[in-house]
Amino acid sequence: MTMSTKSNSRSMMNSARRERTPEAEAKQYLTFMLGGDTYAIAIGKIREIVEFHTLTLIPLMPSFLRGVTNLRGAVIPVVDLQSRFGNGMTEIGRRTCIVIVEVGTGEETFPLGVIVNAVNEVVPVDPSKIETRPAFGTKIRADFVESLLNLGDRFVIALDVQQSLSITEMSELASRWVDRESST
Amino acid sequence: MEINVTKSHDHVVARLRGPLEISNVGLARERFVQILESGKDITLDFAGITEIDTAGIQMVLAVHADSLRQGKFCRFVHPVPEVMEPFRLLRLDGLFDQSIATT
Amino acid sequence: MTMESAKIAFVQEARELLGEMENALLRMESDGLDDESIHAVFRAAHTIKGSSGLFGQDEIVSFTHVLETILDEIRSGKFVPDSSTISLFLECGDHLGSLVGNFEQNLSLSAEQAQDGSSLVQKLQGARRNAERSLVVPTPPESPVEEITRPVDGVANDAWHISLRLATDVLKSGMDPLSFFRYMATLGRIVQIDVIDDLLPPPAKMDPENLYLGFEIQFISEATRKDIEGVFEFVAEGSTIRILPPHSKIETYLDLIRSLPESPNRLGEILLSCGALTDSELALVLRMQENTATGKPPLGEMLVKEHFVPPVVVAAALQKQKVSREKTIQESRSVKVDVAKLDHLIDLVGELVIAAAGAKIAADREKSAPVEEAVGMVSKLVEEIRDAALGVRMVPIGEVFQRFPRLVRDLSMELGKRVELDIQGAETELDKSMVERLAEPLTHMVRNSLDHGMELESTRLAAGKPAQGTIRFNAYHDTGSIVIEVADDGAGIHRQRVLERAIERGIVPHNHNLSDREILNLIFEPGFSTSQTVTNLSGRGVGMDVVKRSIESLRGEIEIESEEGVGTEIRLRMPLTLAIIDGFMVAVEDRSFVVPLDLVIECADLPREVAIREQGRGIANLRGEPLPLVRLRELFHIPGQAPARENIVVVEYGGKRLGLVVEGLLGEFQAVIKPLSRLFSKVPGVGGSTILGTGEIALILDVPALVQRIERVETTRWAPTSASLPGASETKALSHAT
Repeated sequence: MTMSTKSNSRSMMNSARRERTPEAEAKQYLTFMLGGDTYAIAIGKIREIVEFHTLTLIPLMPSFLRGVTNLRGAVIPVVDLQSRFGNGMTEIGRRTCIVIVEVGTGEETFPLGVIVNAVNEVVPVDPSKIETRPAFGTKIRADFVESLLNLGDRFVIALDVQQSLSITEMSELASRWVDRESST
Repeated sequence: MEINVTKSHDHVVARLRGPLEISNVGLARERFVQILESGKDITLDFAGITEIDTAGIQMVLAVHADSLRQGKFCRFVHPVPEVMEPFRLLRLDGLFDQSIATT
Repeated sequence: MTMESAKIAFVQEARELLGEMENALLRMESDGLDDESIHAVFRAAHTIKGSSGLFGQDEIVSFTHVLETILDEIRSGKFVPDSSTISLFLECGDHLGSLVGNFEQNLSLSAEQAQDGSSLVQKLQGARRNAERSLVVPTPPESPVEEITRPVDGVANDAWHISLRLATDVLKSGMDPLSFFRYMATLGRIVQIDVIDDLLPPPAKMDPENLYLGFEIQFISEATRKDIEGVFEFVAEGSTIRILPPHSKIETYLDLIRSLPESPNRLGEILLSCGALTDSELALVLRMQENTATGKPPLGEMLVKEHFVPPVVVAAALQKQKVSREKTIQESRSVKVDVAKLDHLIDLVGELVIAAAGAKIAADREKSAPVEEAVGMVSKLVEEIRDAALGVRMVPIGEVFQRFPRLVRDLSMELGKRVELDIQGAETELDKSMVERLAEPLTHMVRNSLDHGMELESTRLAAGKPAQGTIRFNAYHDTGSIVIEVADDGAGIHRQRVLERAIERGIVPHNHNLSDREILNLIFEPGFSTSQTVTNLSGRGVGMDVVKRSIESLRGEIEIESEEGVGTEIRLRMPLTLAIIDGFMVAVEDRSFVVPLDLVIECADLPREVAIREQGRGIANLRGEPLPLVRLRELFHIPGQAPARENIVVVEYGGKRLGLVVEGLLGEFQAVIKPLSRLFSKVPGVGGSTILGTGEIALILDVPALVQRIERVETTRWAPTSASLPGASETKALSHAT
């Protein structure tokens, strides 16, 4: 009796595993352009994409904190990722967009805007084509990288939103910047 | 709450498992409606019930009454003590068919 | 309802009930025992016990059980509590509060709490034993309502007949009739329960969370009607509950049949089957039912007619019923709403205001009268909607005052002073977030008043004052603000002692001539305390300066008046809401900034001759007074050149003035405050943001922070020529620039 139950549950587990088709498990990513490079963010983190419009500048902030924008009545900080990566400020062009992502953990999440040069597409990526923690060098800080996506014709860095847009880290940087700016 | 259903040509046995109470009667109702749609005699097996409240009792009473309305039998079997206590309190313990031995 | 939200609801309800319990106990202590208070305490304990059982909070259940048992004895007059017992109950309430706190924070019982709990239980039982001994001689008077003589022509049945058709939503509200029956079984013997399923729809059509079942119960018990009614007290609303005493008259059954939804014949069957009536009694009832199909006398009349109770008692009972019904109606007129939902609504309304302003700008450009008129109408309605929406967040300030009776009682006992608390205007409303944030400073003011203001009884008597001191709270609305007064008839503030202390502390220099008002205002200076003995109440390092700062951070004002030997009054004037401010908009280059209007004193042109030194700071001469200046362009590192013409906006905070140098004055407007991300929390002088009609965002200046910032740099405090004496604010509340 006990034996049969055991074998039953095992066969159920096996069948469950077999049912996992690549289609069902593919992860969706949004790819976008940033300073001439393509990056991706898992769409689970993305709330929406809005057209770029003039930002309100916040004084005495480092250049990667570009300002705030009005998203249907909420005042949302906008980050210049390119600048955060240390590659200079993003130029505003005709295709510039703001990608609104959710950052933070657990119940405390905040919407945050990210300036990108252009939004490309949403692509499904098979898990076998997702290399987490790639060993070889990328242009940006290793902890900003969630994974490397093999899109067939090219490799694209998927960003770790939690790290690259860490409120704690950015607040810390902002506060150091304020101290430096106001003492000069 | 889980309801495991075994059907034969004229009979449905529904094995109820876990708590049957206000928090899940909504789900249970959907299963019961499906079972009643089969138009067969029904046996509700309470052996796996861990808790039942008034909402749960009301639910099985509705199943019982509806089954009778359809001219079918609805038997309640295998009351565990957790089930027997409230049914006895409401003087509904007579609904259980005690002639069926627990297996 | 999810488990988590149910838990939050329980915790909130338990806190409210504990609050009511405390109030009732304090009432009992001051005004003596009355049924209503005893009942309120019992009800609180009983409800908390019931709901905590649902959550498996055994600690709370077992503790409230002990409490409830004793309260029940008080209720039935078996045990008359004295003041020490009431104190004990207050402690029990505190203990329950801490147990509820455990549950809220998922903590387990600490050793200390376990100790408290068992010592309270012992004390409770001790109190009861003592009372029992002392109560041997006087037997409790029996309540006439509960004494029911057996009517001559009653039915044979010697059981209570209870007929329940409960409100359909009782199950959803977390009540389970089974638990009532289990509880009833402890009061007596349930002879029979008939479950009435006549109204039970087929599963395909039922809402399984509604209760469709009715119950007819035969119950043998020595319990009083009140006790039995008490079982169903919490489901009474919307329910039909009929409780017929043993040997009730036939007519009562007739009345029962009339009040139930099932047909008379069916009910007859039920009553027969559950043993309430005999065959012949039933036949009689049904015959009477047919005969008197119309003209049913009201219940009260019927009761008197049937000699159950004397008319006076009925009148009283009906009056009470009316009161409680009115109360129920009042309660059911209000709805509990999640604050998050309200905030969302306010946000949407804020957006609507902005969108309407945008529409107005567009309409103005159209230069079409009908469009402008239509948009004008919409804007006006939108403003009304905004005001109404903000009104929804308003709650009575009584929510804060509620905590003070207990605080005053405990502290005055600790200090050996006799103090009475007088609360007025508890119904005055203000924004919920405001109420929450006022609790701290008000508590501190009360402590202060009790500790420093109030004299000992002997001192008061010697001064020819009543032995008992009074602390008076008052709240009222005044021109868009709420005024809260905390007054005492204590010793007042001793000016000389204040001055000496201030000099001793280096807050004022020697030989400095201060006005009476300036001396009084010294108590708001940091690090000031006049108490000769540091007590554990108010002498803990937090002084009136902290109170003042927290009031001002809420954009309120604080004022003190005091007469030596007569008393002290502190008056707070607070805005009604934190969500909206009247702002004054200024510009630097193409950027807009908003200054809270109530901090703006005046506007002026920046005189050409004023030299703005490095970092945009300088001093202007404003009618002979030096005015420190700060140029926003430089403060905020805004690139470009300042224009030839600049303006000064003179702001004042905490008695200190500052001139903000700006490049454009754009006028007044109402700003919906939008908090800024904490990414920007370190930006100096920026407190929040608001959205303009164009959809653009303007930053709201944090004037207090700016003033303090300048103060740190300009270390000229208390220099004889400085205008920054506390209280040198006579010009306050004057000419606002437009």
